[in-house]
Amino acid sequence: MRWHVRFPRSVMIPAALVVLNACGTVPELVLSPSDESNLIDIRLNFKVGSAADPENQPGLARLTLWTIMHGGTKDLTQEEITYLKYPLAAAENLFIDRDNLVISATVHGEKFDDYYPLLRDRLLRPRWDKKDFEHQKKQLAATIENSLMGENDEWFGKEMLQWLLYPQGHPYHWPTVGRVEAVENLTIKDVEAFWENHLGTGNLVIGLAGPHTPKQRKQIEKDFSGFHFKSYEPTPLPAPVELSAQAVVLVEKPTDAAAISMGFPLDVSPADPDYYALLLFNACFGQHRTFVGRLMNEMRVKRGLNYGDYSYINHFVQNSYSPYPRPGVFRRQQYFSIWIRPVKRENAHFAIRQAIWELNDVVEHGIPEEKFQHAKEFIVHYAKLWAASQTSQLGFLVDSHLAGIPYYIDQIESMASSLTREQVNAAVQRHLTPENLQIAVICKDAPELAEALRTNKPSPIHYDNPVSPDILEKDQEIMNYPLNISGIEILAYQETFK
Amino acid sequence: MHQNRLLPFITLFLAAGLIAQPSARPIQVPVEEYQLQNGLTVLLVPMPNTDVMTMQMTVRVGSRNEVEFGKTGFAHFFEHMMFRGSKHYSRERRDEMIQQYGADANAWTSDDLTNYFITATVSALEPLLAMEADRFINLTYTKEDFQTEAGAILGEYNTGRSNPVLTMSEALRAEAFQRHTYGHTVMGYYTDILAMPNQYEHSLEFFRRYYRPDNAILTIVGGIETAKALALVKKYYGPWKPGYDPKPVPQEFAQHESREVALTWSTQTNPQLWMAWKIPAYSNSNTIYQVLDVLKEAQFSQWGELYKRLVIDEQITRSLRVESDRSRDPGLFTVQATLYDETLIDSVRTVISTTLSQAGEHLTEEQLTRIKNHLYYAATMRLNDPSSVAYQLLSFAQLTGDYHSLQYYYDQLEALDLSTIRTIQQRIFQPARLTIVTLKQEVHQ
Repeated sequence: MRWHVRFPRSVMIPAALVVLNACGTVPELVLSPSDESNLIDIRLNFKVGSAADPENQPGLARLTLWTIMHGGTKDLTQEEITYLKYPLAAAENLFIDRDNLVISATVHGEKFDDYYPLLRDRLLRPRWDKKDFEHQKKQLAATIENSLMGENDEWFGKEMLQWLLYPQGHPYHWPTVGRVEAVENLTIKDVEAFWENHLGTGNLVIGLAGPHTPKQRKQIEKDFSGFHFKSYEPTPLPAPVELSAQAVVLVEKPTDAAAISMGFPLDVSPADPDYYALLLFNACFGQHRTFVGRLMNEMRVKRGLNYGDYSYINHFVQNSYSPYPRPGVFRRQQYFSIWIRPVKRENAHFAIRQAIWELNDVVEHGIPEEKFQHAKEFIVHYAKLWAASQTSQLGFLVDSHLAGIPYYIDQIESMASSLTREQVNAAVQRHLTPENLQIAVICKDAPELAEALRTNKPSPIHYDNPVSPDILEKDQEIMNYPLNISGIEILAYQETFK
Repeated sequence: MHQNRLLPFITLFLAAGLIAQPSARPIQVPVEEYQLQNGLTVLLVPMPNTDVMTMQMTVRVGSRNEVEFGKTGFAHFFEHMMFRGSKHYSRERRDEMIQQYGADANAWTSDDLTNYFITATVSALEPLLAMEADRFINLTYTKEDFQTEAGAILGEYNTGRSNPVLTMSEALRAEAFQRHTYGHTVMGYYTDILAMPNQYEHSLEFFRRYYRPDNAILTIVGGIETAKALALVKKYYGPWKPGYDPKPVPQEFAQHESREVALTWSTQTNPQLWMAWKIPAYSNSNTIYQVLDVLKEAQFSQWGELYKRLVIDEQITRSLRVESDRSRDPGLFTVQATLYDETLIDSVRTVISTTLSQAGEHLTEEQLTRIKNHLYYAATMRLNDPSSVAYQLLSFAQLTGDYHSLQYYYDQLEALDLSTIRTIQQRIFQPARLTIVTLKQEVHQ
């Protein structure tokens, strides 16, 4: 057998054909046909996520998808599925967020007909094997207790920020992994009921890309038609809390460095022109894992405070090892955030102050003309890199469909290109409120930090190495910069998501 | 202005699989390979229908070359210094250009290499190539920049500190390698990181020795016209002066019996068991890596014998992973088991060592064929965007200096039979190659 690798198209994407079904008994389809790749991508995006978890059962949506996708079918055991799938080398990924459950699979075109039934039958006819379920449940509980609370303070900090931004009772309050005890109490009946009530044609978008045939497409449509069909109303979300001050949650943990995340609710969706103004602002303030942002330059490059400092205008998940956004995390409510990667504990107070000082300064004074022009050029070109593979292209196509906009990557170019500096600065002033930043810190000696924050105690930065006089001069201002903190809560790390 | 000195040394245009003997299953990547007169190897891969391109400069220096006492972590630190500006492109100018062209520019360091990449739309090829070349030829930074950057390294070290994996890696390497530089992680020892600000002079020496065209491979993949790209490479990288001058890397002492380290951890964690066997250096001429990759699939993939027993059936192991080094000097085949219950560490350890010592005998012809198919399909699936193609090429090219190693690997995999697998398995999974690291939760009185 000879192998021929044909490279997929990238960037220059064909116009997506979106089929919306009037009667609603068949799933919505987003198609990106191409015969230039030999890979087929299929993406099943349920418009439901952990926001649908009952208040006392956080983790249920995730455990449901894990049990189904890592389990068997009515005809085949988990072991048989694994065995059949293996030689096809399909790349299968699950993305679980507050408002979406996504299954993304990439497979060689010639193997698609072998692979597809294995995917379909797990979803439509799950086996509900008790052992598969218990296995996934044990894994999930360990993920919360050890991976999240025990071993990854950066992830922990980001989840604590959302815990703070969305108070108990808000469907976004708990992480998608849930709470340990809640997960341990889940039963196979719970996940079965979640599957029956929340996964179905009524909230499913199917994306297909690559050299798929009309016959394959029709088969998929037919298979998913009428799957648990009923109209589906997403769990209602309360309006974001009106904030009038900064608030802090400190998680006490015996760790050498302090992990810091801060943010506030920000409801600007990609359908809103202001979104692109903020995207442009963010490109010069805190673009994820690049050196182009102000935070990165002021905190890491000039002061060597830590490894990185970034900001986001919506919930952000990195796409694998790249610094690009991963599609599949489109949310109904969004938030602005700043991620300060771990700093030495003695510099935690200074780092919090500096991030807020920098944001406040840019809100107050706006982006200078030169920076604005650079950011504009940057974002238009850079966004094209986000969709270099067919899998990412399809992800952004489906997300665009969910957001009700033209193809997101094109939309960034067309919207950002026409923005003026005045429009961007006005949007920044309209939406960004540094005085309301909610702050989550994972660190040791939390009471001491709480006291320093409460009393606005000066917080000199501790340098290991000399820096220039102009930096020291600015540091003087930052270390005395008054914060506007109204409440500080301290939690033991083992108690947070227990 | 130096173009007259830059005649292409080799010019090839071939699919990797079509050299020498035609391969049964060629990896169909159209590579053009050149060598500039200064020794720089250049790999160009045109991809149709994309206006994205990636340029990746692989310098064959990594933590393996940190032979001086107190200088661990230096190759990685030096990688950071390459972002502080050069003679014609200050740091500010560099950042401006990255913004202007919307590029993704970063780098990473491993045991054996330091890789600098810049990915952007293809219209930015010339300006970005000129900018990149300048830092390899005319790097400049102040002592103050150097010292400030040391803070960022400490920050990077801190990002991983809450995870016991970093501590376990440090312990495993230190125990397994008592002389060779694989005995420390790429990040380096904490004490050496703290002392980095004092190493300014050493950094100049490090650049002089290792950052030379005759120790580097430039890979450009994407929507490029190769003739034009080559002309630009000659123009901008031609003036880079050769003079690779490595310090010898000490060879590891022979190991005679198994070794063991026991660690504890103060915050919430699962117990861990790592078992690492020494394996030979990578070479085109033997099939050990293919055998280990096959056994990795047969034992640790989701249908694998050990995975099925420990993770699925008995559910006493939370996760079971393997890292099999492909390195320039002898490295490690490391099994990483995360358990739920620390009292089971010894029994899991016995199951793993017993099973691996018979892994080849347990493998059937049918399974071997399935594994070969899987590995081949998986490899070709990864060739789906410019960065992935570049990574596949350079990860083999850096090992041997020859990108054809990618094809040799798959040719030898295709030819592999059960008796070879059994012979190699018996050779590798011996107590005299083994180092064990365990980690348990600290007991609070």
